[in-house]
Amino acid sequence: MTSEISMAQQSEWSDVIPKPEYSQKVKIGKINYLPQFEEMMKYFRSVHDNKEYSERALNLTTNLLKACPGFYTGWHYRAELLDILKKNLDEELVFLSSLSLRNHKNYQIWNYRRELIKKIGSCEGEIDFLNIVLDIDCKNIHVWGYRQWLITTFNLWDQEYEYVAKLLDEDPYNNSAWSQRYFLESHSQFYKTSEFEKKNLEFVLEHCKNIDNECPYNYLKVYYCQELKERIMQGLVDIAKDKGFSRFLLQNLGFLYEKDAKGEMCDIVYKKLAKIDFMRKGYWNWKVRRTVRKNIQRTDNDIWVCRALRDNEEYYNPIYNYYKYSAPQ
Amino acid sequence: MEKLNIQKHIEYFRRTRESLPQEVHSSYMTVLFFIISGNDILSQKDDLPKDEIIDWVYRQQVTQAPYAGFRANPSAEILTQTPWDYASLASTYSALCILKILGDDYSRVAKNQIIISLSQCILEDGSVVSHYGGIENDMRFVYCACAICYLLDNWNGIDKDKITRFIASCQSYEGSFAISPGLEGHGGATYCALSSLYLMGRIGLLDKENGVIDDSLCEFSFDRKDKLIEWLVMRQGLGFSGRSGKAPDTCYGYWVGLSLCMLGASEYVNRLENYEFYSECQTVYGGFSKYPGLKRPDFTHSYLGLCAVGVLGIDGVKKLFAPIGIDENLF
Repeated sequence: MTSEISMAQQSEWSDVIPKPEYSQKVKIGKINYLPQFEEMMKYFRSVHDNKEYSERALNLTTNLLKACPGFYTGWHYRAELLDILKKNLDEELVFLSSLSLRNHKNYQIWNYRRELIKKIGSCEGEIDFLNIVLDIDCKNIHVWGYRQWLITTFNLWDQEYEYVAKLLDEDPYNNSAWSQRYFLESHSQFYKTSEFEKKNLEFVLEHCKNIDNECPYNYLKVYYCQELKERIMQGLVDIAKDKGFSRFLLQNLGFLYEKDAKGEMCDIVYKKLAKIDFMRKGYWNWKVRRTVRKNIQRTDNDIWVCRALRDNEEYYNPIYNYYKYSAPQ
Repeated sequence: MEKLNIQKHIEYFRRTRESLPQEVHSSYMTVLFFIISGNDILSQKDDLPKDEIIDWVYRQQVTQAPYAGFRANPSAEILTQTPWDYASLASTYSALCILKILGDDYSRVAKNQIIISLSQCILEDGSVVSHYGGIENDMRFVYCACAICYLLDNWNGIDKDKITRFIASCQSYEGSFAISPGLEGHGGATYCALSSLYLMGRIGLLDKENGVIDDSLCEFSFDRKDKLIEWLVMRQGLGFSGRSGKAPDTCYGYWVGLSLCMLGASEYVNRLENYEFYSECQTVYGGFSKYPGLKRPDFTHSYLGLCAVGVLGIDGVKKLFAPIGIDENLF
């Protein structure tokens, strides 16, 4: 069917009586349907109600889903049609891919794809296709969800490490890639083993040298444990000595000090945050109020942090640059 | 607080009654819910054709399990109980909200049949599918299921432990929640997770350290509440973003703002800066755009943005009951 010719004028459809929508429309929120879509829906109701499983019904769903990819009744009908007509599912995948590239943020499309691949039983070409879609938007959560299903189902773990490394290389601010890294790490047979964690921690600390990047700083929290906390503290202090403090770095110092019940250090860190992180002044002041100040034995690192935060204004770095908003006057 | 022109938003929401684009076809019930709720929170619902809308909503009801619920929009002619034209959890939730806003007493709602149908949507891992026989299962429908049970005041169809376990499995290393286990933490998913816990009476599980919850629920392990609050507060960069490292977007004032409300932490929102952000996203036609500087409003962001502005406490915009997302005075 070509969309220019009305369905009523096509001999293929001459035996079908189009059915209009049954109910009187609600008087508010009227949908402005395009005439072609409205006509297709009339024929859809007709074939649908007659439980017609035919080639023309399949073509009709093709056109309807192109016009409205969220039309879930249409997707369901289509899946049944493919089954009953014993259609070639590889061809269906081609149709789906072309639609996906234009509507990549649609839930139905990706869930339908998962069902289709289950039936086909092979994931050939899928990762390549997903790489293309992630090139359009590397944070597309639908695609990541489908990708994780694919990796788990077809055991594609090994090659994924390389892909995630490439994404983080291109854009270390891509939190979806960090999240995927955690997905891989937490499914590794070495998860929570000492050597594995140490090695991964070094990778994250290396990225923390970019003190404006929230992602590796959030990731650090994966490794907070008795065994690694000294290394994290040393890593953060070394970075601060070299690059200065950012709110993310300070936030992590606060987190560590809280865990160690070093109230006096928390007090210093949160007071500094209240001063430099204008946006969250109320929040950091609340943290200051909640802190139980008790004197503790200071380590050399603690002494350095105290001095740096108290004495040297140059040690902190304005934090608004990433969001491209300047600090309010 | 005069930069936000409430009169313009009233005009915008009154206009949304008039016409909608074709794309909303499959989510029509939800769009209708947003129109009606938008008019309600701006105190404009009195002249809505209430009885007509209520009748239309009831005509979308399928009353026989396992297909019971409300349909988004009638696609097929068939009005009887068939698996063809699905009722879905999302549109059932939306329909119940519309009915509540318009003062209907649910007397015509097939309550038991809906609860039975809903129980069939819960999978072994505690996730929930979009409709009976559906293939989409994630946190969105966990939320819809909990909201329906709460609105119908009937939890017989749900195994709360199973659902709670699923929600816990979706918590990310950042402290936030994802729509499925293993995915990136996200503001919208976090709202769905927290609302579900709240409606089940289990949000105290996040605060186990303070001994809020009884011993029978010890098996559930959530990360510390503090960490989640900090993640939510960190989303603010004028307005709120939904994920780490992304730009602020009007709709996350809703998801993140209401999440903070449920955690008793809304006082940590920098209201002035947030207000500034919404002023920049307001368009000359009323309504909000997704980002500052886009000249045209879009409907979803206008509705969610308006609710988010209400969270700030502004004259002329009603506050929402956070876990359901309609006027708090309705409860």
